[in-house]
Amino acid sequence: MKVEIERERCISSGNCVLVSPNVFDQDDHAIVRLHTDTVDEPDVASVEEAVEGCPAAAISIT
Amino acid sequence: MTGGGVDSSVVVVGAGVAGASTVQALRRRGHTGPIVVLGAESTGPYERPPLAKGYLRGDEDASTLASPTSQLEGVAWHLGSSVIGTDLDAQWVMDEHGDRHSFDHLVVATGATPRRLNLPFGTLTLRTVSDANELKARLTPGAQLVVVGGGFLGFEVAATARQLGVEVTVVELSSQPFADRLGARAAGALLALHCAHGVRIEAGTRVIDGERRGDGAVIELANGETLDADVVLESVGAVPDLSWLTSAGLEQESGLLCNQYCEAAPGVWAVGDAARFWHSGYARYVRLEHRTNASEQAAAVAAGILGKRNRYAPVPFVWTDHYDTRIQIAGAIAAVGLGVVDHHDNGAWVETFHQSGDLVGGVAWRAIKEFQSCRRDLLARAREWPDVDPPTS
Ligand SMILES: Cc1cc2nc3c(=O)[nH]c(=O)nc-3n(C[C@H](O)[C@H](O)[C@H](O)COP(=O)(O)OP(=O)(O)OC[C@H]3O[C@@H](n4cnc5c(N)ncnc54)[C@H](O)[C@@H]3O)c2cc1C
Ligand code: SF4
Repeated sequence: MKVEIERERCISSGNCVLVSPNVFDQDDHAIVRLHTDTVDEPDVASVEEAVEGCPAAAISIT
Repeated sequence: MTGGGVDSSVVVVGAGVAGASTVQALRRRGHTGPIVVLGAESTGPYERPPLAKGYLRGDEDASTLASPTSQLEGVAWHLGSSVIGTDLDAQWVMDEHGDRHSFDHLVVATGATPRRLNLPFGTLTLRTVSDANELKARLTPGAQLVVVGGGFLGFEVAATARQLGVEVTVVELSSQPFADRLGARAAGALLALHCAHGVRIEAGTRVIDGERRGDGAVIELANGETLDADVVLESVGAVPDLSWLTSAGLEQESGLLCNQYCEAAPGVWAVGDAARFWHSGYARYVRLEHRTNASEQAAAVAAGILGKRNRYAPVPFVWTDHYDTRIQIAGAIAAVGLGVVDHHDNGAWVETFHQSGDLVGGVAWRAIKEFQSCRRDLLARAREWPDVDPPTS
């Protein structure tokens, strides 16, 4: 699974980092960034949760 | 009534973020049935938090507010179309044009409307983009803004107005603004921040009279002060307007009363600012007017519609921006008393609150990343919450 972020949409709620810390990180301005854009099985469920919980709809998966 | 099904028909009333997130969550979870969304505003779903901040300041335009909904197939959006009535037994709602829309599941996502004090002069409120446009046009450098109601919204606007060169006075009934939301320490720090930016704060008093003067007003306060205003903003809270549901006989208590699954009646769900739901972890009814709640609750409602009901017992999370300072709040803050403070670089700090030794909440001052561990601990605590059922009446 591939994950994509739209940094301009991010409102730095930190939700994604909270539910899926292996994949998501925040920069010094607390805007989302990725540790990796390729998600392996153990993190799939948490990334799906991050997509759903992102208040800015800034995360998508393909 | 209908059970959960991927092909059930869903009517969502209210095209705000809660309604839009419910639709998104439904489709994401495999729902294929017809969905109708009815929204009173003429615009599609958009983000409200920037209306008091970046959008009001002029840093963001309307296109960055809009929520992406383009990928949602088979969803009929009826915008500029208020729902005015419903028959739950016959399973339809009626819009202002007299059209009926049938459903298996009804989602109440009508948000909240600004409360009004009926002051004897003209005032503005801030909820919609058009409200923000009207306010923005009046916030010219040197203008005098009086904000009636010193909550997060009122003070966020105060900060933005100062950045625009506007003179600002905030009138607040409580003598300790924010103390019940932030705890005493962060409340004091926030008020000090506003004072340092030149906001005049009249706390522990209220407007008792006044009259229109030109486009503005002369305002009399209970403490004997008189204020001249070019613009008056009323920010004294928002209440759900559920008048279209009154004939349905559902319980309302400033918000549609629903159970721990966000269900007000079989097949009738509430989400976002309009919902007062049973929080099985806190063992009380709560209404959370926070942006993150709208999305999280939407996911719970979508799961429920698809027959996978789960108790919705979130750890509340909210943020608020003032000048360059972001404050975040998670969990339940003890109204009185101080917590334990952890200081970080650049004046950032996190305060955590405990009850009987257990972590119950935290506040972060300019400490966005540092707050993660507190939020994570709160979520871990929440997994051990007892599941308390709502009282049966
Ligand atoms: C200026 C402002 C700043 C904010 N800042 C923050 C912040 O910094 N952090 C934070 O966590 N939260 C913030 N919030 C709160 C957050 O925006 C709300 O919690 C969120 O918008 C709730 O979404 P909702 O969809 O439930 O309600 P709403 O966004 O109010 O949407 C409800 C929609 O339903 C429509 N509607 C109402 N009645 C009917 C009807 N009968 N028929 C059809 N449609 C109807 C309304 O017109 C509205 O468009 C802010 C809110 C405002 C107004
Ligand atoms: S959840 Fe969304 S808004 Fe929040 S930090 Fe992650 S990407 Fe940004």
